[in-house]
Amino acid sequence: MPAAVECSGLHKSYGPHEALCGLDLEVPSGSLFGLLGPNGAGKSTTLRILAGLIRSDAGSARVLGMDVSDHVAAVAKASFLIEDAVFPAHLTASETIKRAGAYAGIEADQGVLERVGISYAADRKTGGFSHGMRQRLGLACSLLGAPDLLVLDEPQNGLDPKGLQMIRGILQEEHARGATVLVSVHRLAEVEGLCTHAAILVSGRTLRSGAVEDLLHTEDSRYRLRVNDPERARAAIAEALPDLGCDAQDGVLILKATEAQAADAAAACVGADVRVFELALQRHTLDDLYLREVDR
Amino acid sequence: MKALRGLGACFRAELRDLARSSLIWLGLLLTAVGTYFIGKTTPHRFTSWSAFAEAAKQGGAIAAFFLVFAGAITLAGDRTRGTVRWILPRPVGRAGFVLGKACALAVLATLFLILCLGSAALAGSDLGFGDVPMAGGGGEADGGWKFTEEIEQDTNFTAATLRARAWWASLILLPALLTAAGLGMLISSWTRSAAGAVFSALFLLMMLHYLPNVLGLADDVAAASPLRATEGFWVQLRDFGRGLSSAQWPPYGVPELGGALVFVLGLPLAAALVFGRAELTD
Repeated sequence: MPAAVECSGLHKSYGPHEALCGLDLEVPSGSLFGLLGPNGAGKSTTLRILAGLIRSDAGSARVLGMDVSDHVAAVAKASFLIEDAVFPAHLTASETIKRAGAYAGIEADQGVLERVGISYAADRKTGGFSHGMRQRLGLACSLLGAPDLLVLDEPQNGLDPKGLQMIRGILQEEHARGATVLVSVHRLAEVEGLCTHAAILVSGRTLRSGAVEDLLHTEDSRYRLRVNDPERARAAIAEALPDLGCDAQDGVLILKATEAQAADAAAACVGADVRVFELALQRHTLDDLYLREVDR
Repeated sequence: MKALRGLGACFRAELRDLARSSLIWLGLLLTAVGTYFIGKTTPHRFTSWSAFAEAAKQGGAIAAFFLVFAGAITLAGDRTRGTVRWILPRPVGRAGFVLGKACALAVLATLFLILCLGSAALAGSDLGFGDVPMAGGGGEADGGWKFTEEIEQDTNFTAATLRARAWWASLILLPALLTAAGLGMLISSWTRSAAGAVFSALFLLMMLHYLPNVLGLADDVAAASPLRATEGFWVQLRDFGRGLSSAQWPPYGVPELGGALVFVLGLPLAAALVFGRAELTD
């Protein structure tokens, strides 16, 4: 199955500022893909190129197998929410949905307003909408016609906790439906545990990309060892395994060890009459990965 | 044809947006009232035709002002507000987007035209629209050279000229109004600010109005120079075969109908081309 989104060697400059410096990106079909990166990393620029709002200076970009230069074909089965959503202020939410459907050449299903939680404002003009309501309406427009690819640029902006929960639910539903979802975020907590794939962008380049499980799996695995006497345990481990890295954090020992070394360390503690309560692999999070890659 | 995808949807959407714009309703009202007022108060109320022509010309200028504005904000407004980010990531061709708006503006221009000519006709109706009732009788233009002061004295020439001018004013008004709207669109296709687009379009419209006059005047002065040597300082007006001078019939400085049509067809297309290559976000 071809990738839903493929970018190769994308370059884009705004005057002297180089926003993208040969960015490569591949979003597998059917994935829920998180595009992570600090402000100015090139996330929005990439999504704008995919949406056909701007053109890259060099490189190629394909959406659902179509080159983005063939804009109408490329976005025919895709849906985009780029930056903060803005609508004609004199239209009601219901009319906005209808118009979005007309532009896309599809039947407008007003049920999407219910889905994003603003059906109560269907007959209100969007000019009086709050930021969060506009975001919800933008998301509702994007959901029309059950797109094969849903691209959302920081959809959580301006949303309250309930809205964030709604976004997570919709992302999961769309993914479960079989759609590819590409979502750009800079707050990792919002996609943690949600994305199947992710890429970390920094300074216009892709630093890491792939399945989240693969990204989080790393050679320098760490184990948490919780004991009744950390100081004695540390001394016992240092004596049994002098080369093993061992730090104490909040009364818990963090071992930079392989699985076998961790087991040996626990045995050394037991041998020194230290009670072992817990030995667990410390899972890396996207946050860890992101901060490590960005700091690098 | 893909580039034109969404033209119908954009046309209908733009038409609805225009219908909800208080500025457009204000423009229609001002055009109707202003045209009627000008037709009733013009010093050129020699005949119904002269009142009609003067009212249509001045009222058309009011309409043109609003159409420049409508044309300028139709694209630049979408960019300034950011609504293009909502519309164009859908399967809408950029040419279709621009030309859909151009078609809606053409409908609006036609509405302005009907209102303008209707008000002008109403304003001149009290004088009657029969054969030109000028003192000294009607008749055809003599087609020869005329001096400005002679025109006022030659009732035959003046009567025919005024009637013809009224017809020309009517004929050329629609292309002129479309040109105004197209000019606004063209400028707004390369500017990000709606205010900048309006200002630039009005400035360019003024230049278009005055440039042919300046060029025509220079031409006339050159042609009249041999006569001036013998007759004194007369400004000679060139005849166009219908008893009209360059200073008389083009209401907005576009010298020929063909030229206006080029603008009409060319400006929205040029806007579509420019917009088609434009970067639409910061």
